[in-house]
Amino acid sequence: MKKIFKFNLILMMIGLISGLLIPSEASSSTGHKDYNKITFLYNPESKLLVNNTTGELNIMMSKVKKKAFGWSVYSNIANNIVMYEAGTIFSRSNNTSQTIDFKYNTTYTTKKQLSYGGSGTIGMKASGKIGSVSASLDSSIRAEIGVKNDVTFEEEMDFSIKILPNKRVSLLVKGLATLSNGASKYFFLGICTKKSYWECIDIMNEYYELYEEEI
Amino acid sequence: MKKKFKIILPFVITSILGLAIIAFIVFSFVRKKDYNYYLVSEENYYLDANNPTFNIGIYSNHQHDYYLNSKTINNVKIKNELNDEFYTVKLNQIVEEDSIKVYQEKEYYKYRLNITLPLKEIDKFQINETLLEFTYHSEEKMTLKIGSLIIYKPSDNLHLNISAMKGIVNPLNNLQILCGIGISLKSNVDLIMKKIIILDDRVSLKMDEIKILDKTDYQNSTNLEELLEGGRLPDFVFNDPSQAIKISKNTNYHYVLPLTYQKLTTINTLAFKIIYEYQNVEYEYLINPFKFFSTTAQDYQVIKYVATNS
Repeated sequence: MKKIFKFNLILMMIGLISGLLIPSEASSSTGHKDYNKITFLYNPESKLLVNNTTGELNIMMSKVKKKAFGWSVYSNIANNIVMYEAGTIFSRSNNTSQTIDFKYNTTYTTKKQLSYGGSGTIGMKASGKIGSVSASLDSSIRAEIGVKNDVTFEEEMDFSIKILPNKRVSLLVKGLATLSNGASKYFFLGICTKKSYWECIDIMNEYYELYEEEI
Repeated sequence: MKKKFKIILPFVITSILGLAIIAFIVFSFVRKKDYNYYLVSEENYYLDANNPTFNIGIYSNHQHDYYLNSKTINNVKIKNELNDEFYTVKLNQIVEEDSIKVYQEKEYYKYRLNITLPLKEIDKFQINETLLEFTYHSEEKMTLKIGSLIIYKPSDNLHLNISAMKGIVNPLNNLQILCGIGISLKSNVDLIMKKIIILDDRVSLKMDEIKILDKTDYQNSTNLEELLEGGRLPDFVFNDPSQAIKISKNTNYHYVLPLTYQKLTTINTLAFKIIYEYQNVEYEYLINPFKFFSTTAQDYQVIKYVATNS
């Protein structure tokens, strides 16, 4: 009996340590590679996961309730409205002395996917897409913060514009989203075998903005 | 031994045949219960009058879908849901793309349809509630709602230039509505902006409601009324009843164009024409269809068909 207990304990330790060794995929200042900037509109005290201190993250993790089996999810912030900047679709400069006609074709995507960041024992892939995260954790998080629509559609669009000499024209994407984050633990027979921090961004609107600037 | 074999053999053959018939009946029954689901997003399609061709994406829960196969389709029609207007269109191509969506635990596969409308030398054409109707060789029919369809005539741009453009989107009646457009315009000559015509009949704007702003860094979700209050009136042409606006050369104006809707609806793509006068000659400047925003609050259809496979 003692041997089995020791074996389980060793397995659990290996699991936790290996989990901690998996590098975080947070690649930008927001922790999400698709979003350059995220600002909380009505909850200035709220923080992105990347901005939490180790102590704050530990407190978050300690608030996850114990259960017998499966994922237990603690939501630190739930569905806070944020303004995000998702990047630039194109940026075209005119270094000549002539006006140039610029025609672009772009595919717009109505993003409705989850984006995960943070660190933990889940092997998160760089893409941060829903497929790379355990489906059972996703449904547990969804049960906590509410079910969202995750269908995306693509639409092609042509647009032409004149670019004056010594100007640069760019098309920027920004918008409104809801952001939720927290911690989660996976239990087997009441023993925690996995830990994870999670952050979900659910897009509400995407705005496309065209602007010209001096080079 | 041989006798026994002779007695058993007919039984074995009959049993195998019987099982094959039962399997065939069960298989046919299962196939008849096979549902076809289609996901279609209603969009605002703008087509160049010189080449009225467009692509539409349809998601099906079947790979190599019988109903999205040019060999099984007899003809395709574009119909106006609001009246009896219809056009048989040319289905140039159906391509099954390498894109999968998951919706309610079902996988959907993307098909891109390339369609050409048989309309030529047309200045302006619009269907607000467009249906795409497929008629099959099997005499079955499938109809999908695809949104609005507008054909417009491109024009040359000689004197005006856009330096910034964005949408102002406010929630109205639980819908995300493009209430206004922020646009920075500049001209290399002195001219008179006489009219702005939105190429979508459902939307209009009045020249006397246009305001000029000194700033351009406002949020897209800013309240339009508040934004207009902070603006000033443009330089209208004196005594002109059409409220024509003077544009001085090499000056960058940031206008806010408030939009009026016949009926509130989420329209996220707009094109418009600026009619202006330069040296007593009238010109027009077309601002190509521009998608100002997208919203997850927008509806999409999930259409369910029972595959009859008759």
